[in-house]
Amino acid sequence: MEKKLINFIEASIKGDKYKWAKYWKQKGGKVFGIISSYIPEEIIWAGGVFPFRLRGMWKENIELARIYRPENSCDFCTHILESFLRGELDFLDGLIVGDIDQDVIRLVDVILYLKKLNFCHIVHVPFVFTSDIHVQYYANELRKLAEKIEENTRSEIKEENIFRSIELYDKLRNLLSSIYEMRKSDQPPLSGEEFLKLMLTVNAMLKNEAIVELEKILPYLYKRKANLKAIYPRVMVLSEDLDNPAYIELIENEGCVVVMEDMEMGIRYVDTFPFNEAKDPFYLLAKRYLQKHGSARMGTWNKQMENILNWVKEFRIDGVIGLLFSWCYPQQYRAPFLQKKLEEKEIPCMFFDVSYCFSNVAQLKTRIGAFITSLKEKRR
Amino acid sequence: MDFLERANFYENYILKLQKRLERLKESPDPRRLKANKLRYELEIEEAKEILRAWKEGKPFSNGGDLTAGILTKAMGFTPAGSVGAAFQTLTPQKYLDHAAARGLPVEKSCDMTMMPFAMMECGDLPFEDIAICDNHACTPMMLRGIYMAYKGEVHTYFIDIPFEQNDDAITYVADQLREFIEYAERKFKDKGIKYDEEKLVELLEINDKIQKANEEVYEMLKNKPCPIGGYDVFLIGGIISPSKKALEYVQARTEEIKERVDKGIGAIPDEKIRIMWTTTRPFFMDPFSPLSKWGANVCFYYAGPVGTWAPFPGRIFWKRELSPIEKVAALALSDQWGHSGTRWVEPMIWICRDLEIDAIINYNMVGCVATLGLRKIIEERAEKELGIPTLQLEGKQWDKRYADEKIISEKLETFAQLCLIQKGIL
Repeated sequence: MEKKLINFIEASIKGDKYKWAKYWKQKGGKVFGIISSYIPEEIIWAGGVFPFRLRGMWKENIELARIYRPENSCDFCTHILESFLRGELDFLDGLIVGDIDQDVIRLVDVILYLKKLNFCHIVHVPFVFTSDIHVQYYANELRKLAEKIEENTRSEIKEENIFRSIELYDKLRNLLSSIYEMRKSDQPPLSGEEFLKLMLTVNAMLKNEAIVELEKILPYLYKRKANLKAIYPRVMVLSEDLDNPAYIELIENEGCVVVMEDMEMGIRYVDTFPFNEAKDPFYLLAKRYLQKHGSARMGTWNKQMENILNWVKEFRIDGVIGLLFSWCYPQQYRAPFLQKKLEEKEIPCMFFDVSYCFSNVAQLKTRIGAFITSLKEKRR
Repeated sequence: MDFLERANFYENYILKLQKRLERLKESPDPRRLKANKLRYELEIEEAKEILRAWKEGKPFSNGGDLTAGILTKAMGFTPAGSVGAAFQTLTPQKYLDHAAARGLPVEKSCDMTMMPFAMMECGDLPFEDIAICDNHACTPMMLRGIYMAYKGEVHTYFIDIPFEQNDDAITYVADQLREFIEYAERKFKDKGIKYDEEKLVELLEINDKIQKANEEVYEMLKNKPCPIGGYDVFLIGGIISPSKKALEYVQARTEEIKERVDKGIGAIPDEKIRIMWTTTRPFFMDPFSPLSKWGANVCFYYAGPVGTWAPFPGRIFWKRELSPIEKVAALALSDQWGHSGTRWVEPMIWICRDLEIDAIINYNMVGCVATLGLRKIIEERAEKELGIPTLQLEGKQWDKRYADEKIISEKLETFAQLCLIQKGIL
């Protein structure tokens, strides 16, 4: 079983991360790339399209994208553009993004300008959730998204299909949530690095297949104890679009365990949003998605902080490490707020600027190492 | 701290404007409009009003100038106008340092998103009683609002501005504005805050007249030589808070430009190159003189508020009669910053063609997420569709560490000369 687990975890790192998407295409299906955890995959899947969450290439050389995107712009988007320009994403039939950040919109602008895709749709995601007006508008945006998909695929998205798709995704998120529960234990079944790899695999797969695999693996995980350098201190990582497990490996190699991560490829994907019984599937999804733990771009920083503090308690976190992309403005603006709030609660924290690809390793290792040492000292 | 150092921004600004007025009287710059005298008087009047309101403890509103600036004014709030203040300060570094000390990404961000809050914390601007945080412009501007809401403990009301421009979007923003009115009336009941539709209609009418005057100016910019340039062009591109005095100034400005056109007077002698300047400019220097030295005149300033007055196709996007609140919503949706690239680049190309622009200076301000990712597209399209060159000029608004006066001046002069060579003049 251990071998099966490792194979599953490593599947999208060692092999072709696009193999599931390409297989779906071979069978005659369509694949849409998506950016932002605010785009409900449920609707796309209900339309018979494989929603594929985009990741960029983890390479330092981004010479093609650099022509269109200056150095002082979001690294994640730049690396995704590089993947487009190198032809890595030629299999995509379309792209759906949320206007979560203008840098993402600028990425779409370049893709359209260079005619890399014919179908690109931008969903407006309200940055606040203070009134039902926002939910209604977002629900309409999701309805429009469904119509666009229908036009593209020339097939109707039936409401019952959306409800079925919601059930499927809820099942997946519940399974992933149970792994988060296991990570609360003294010796978690997976290291932070392993968990991120598992998330990458799940994200790259067809979700019904991912559920089958997770159901097989889960009973084993209940018994498993991860092979860790240290079971203390316990660390939470805060980031946004970071998805390179090498960063988590670097942190854990300094002698700690990452048991929680607030980022797109982490709890923000898994978070089982509050259930509501709306009969309109678009309203239901709009409300659920707007209520979930938000990204730095949302106007819900206080609520986000509450969640982070709850996780600190539930996961018995000793320290928080923020890995911020240098030119990601939402992260950079939010960091001083988070730092102040964490310090007020006497929770040790440190924020580091990082690149999307794994670089500046030596300096990062020294600084993170010093922080982990201070956490160990504190525990003693 | 001595008395001079204790003076706040508006006290210092009044002195600065009075000196400008004196200079204008003693030795007017023939390139600049005489109507600027009225502008300075208007600004002095506004600054004095703010000082009075500050002293009397009247409620201030801030943020979202295009979103709800007119509405809050009609409700009885005094607009704090902090972004304008940041453009005019004499001590920018003090505020940038203050924001940096708070841990904000000063080096990476647009100076305008960093300074207003710092100016308030330093006691140089009044803290607003209510801030409107919205996304009508750019991500950093919105983030600045969120930051102030949570870190600065400023009372903040969030208004979401959608991505698309259409009637549904107007309804959506108008609905939120109505909720804002209810909220603000409740919250500031004892301070006399009340929605006054008559007042709003009056302000909107003045605003319409200002826009109409600006449209007339736009048509006159087609003249060769261009009747205005540089600083005066930037003044037309900015946002002006509607008032009778503001309208008086704008109408006088329009008349003076008409006179110049009739007499064939240009902003610079012997205009050879007509330039569009985009986004923003360095405020620590005069970027126009290095250009005018070579006969290059900045005839048009392209920025977000262009969407409220320049007559490019699709600007009036609504298809029905709008109520006063809906008109405010439509204004918020008219800002060109930070929406789709098409919405930024198409009108730019259209205006360049319409005004027979010879070159673009695209100011690549560090931290301007709204525009940086479009630089190459602008450059390629301008070259392919219009056959004109683009200078990608890097820099900030106040921070000189990226590019100082010397570097910028050299680039501008070189660009002007290359344009002359391309036109076969040099």
